[in-house]
Amino acid sequence: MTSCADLLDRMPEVAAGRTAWTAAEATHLGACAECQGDWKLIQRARQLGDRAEARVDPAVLAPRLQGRIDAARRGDRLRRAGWVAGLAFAAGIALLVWRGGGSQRSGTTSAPAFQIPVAELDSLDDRQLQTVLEALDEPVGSDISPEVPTFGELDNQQMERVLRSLEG
Amino acid sequence: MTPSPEPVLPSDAALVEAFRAGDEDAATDLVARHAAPLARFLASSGAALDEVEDLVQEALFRAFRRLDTWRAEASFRSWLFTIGGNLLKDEYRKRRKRRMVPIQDRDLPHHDDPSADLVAKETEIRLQKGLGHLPRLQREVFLLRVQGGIDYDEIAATLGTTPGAARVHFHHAVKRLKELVQ
Repeated sequence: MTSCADLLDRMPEVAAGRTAWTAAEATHLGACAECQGDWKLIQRARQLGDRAEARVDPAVLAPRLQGRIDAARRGDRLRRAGWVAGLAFAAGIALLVWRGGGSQRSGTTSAPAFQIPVAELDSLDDRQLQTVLEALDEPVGSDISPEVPTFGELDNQQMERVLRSLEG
Repeated sequence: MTPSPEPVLPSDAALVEAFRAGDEDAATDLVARHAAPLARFLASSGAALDEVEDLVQEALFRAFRRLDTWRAEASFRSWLFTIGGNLLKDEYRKRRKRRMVPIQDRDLPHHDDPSADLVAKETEIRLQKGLGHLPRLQREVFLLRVQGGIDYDEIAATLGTTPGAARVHFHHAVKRLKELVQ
């Protein structure tokens, strides 16, 4: 025997056309005013959706949607590439800073490499070139007169201080 | 002659997996399967008819962009409806007021009897208003069941309740709507 509650549970499926009433259900519906009211309401609610459904064409919607998804994915890739480039740049800067700081910490600061401006040397005449080469032959710093006094020039107090510093 | 067996349609989960693997046809199949019920759901939830298509597209777009968040224990359709419902709420918030469906003449079925048109229009407006007056759970269960064709088990999984409670909500919703519409 069909109950009103069971019939109501089946109404959405029948209204959507996914199934049909059984003979027993049809008999019950024909004789029950309560169920007829429920049925009318469900059908009206379905009709409310019918016009909305008619406005959507999946055949048109799907390619539009795919286009939007592809565009969004391209945007994602560009954003990711931007992040990677930014990170790589930041890492490069960090590496440069770290290397500079590291060599200072280790106390192995190398003297700036001596660079000969080859292209400029080409434009010199023999005399000028000779002058440059003579200058290069001189020991580095030989032209600087040391102002550091010798031990003999120190007075007793100064000598005492130097000795203390040497002994730690 | 033996009739050839009906082809077994791939499940939503299989289509989602295929789409993730780069199969664009899977997306087309999912749209074909769920766009119309989603349109029904949105219109019954209060979306204006002339906005339904855009809302459906936007909801599907958001769903495809967030497929990783879909838990397969809830049906794809009910998850999609949740996204659509949230989208609609966002639209309402943007406008600062709830907008009821403006039913236009061109949206109504054509009848020779103008008084029949008027009755149909009034009934639909009352139904729309009635849906707006239902408690949230009753309204959602009713729409998922009637417009989405979703069974009580799936509705329960979607709304975080039990199938029995979902059934009770549906029956109460029908009773309440009948009172409001009549």
